Amino acid sequence: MKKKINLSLPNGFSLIEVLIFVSILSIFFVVATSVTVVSLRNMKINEHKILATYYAEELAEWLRDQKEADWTEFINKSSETYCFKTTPITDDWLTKVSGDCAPSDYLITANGQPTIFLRNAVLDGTNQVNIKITVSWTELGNNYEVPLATVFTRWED
Amino acid sequence: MRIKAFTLIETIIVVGITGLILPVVFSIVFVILQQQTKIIRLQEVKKQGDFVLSNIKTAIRNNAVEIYTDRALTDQKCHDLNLYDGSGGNNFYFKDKVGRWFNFYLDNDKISSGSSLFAGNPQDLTNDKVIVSNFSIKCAKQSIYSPALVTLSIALSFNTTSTRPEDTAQLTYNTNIKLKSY
Repeated sequence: MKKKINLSLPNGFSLIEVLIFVSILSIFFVVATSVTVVSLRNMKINEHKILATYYAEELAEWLRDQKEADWTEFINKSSETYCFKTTPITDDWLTKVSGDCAPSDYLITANGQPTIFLRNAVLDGTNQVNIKITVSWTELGNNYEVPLATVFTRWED
Repeated sequence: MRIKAFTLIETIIVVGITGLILPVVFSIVFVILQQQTKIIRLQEVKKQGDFVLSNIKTAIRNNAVEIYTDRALTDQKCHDLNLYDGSGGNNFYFKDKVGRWFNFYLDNDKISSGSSLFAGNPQDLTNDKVIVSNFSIKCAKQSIYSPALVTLSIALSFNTTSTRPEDTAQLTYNTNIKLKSY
């Protein structure tokens, strides 16, 4: 015998079913979006870290050049903090600052584009010069920095 | 009896929503991929740049004694106060402690290292992924009693035909090397 279908009931989802489905779907989308945003942000931070490391090494290399070229001149620059604003470094000892770079002293690339980085170096000592290079930047309200410390002496092995 | 199926209006709404969501999803995926590509390229350029620089620096600092323009080591440079520019490195030979020569030069967008130890079989220090767009090597002497100072400048960029800033990665390396034994 054939089962009789009750045609008086409407075919479809009830409100509660739709609500559950929509909320599960929206939770999924929110999670997916936040994961994406976090991963994108991390990627951007990583890119900036690579660049910051490069800028710090560039300055360390340049300071070493200055030391190799003329130690007496170099020692005269010690016990100061400098803000190095150009890359590649062309100018001599640019800005002598007390403390860190001013917030507007962004590193400027060869084509005149300002970057988001601040790069400063603290030189300290007379017989051997302790160098602390810091490349810092602010991204989405967080401060990041890449420190690099090295020691220069007159004679090296 | 009425046939159970979606109505036209329902289908249009579903297709419309899908049409809105898909481009958004794909554009996000595209941005992620692009960002990842950029990081990988930058990393590659930096990796090879760091390697080349440290390799050349160590070799010159520890082994170079004198600088010559030729392989036979007859025409010495930078033993006086005159500056010598070896531009692409093809006429810039170092003599080591036991009288052998070695050099670094630009060859087909790569930096090559030659030595009398493996003459005729120079080794590339960079690979096809990176183009060396500029390689200059110079030497000078501050005073007659001081060691010669070798000035190196290397510009590396990722090997791509694209000129869009998001596809390119370029880094420049500059350094001065003092010959330790002279």
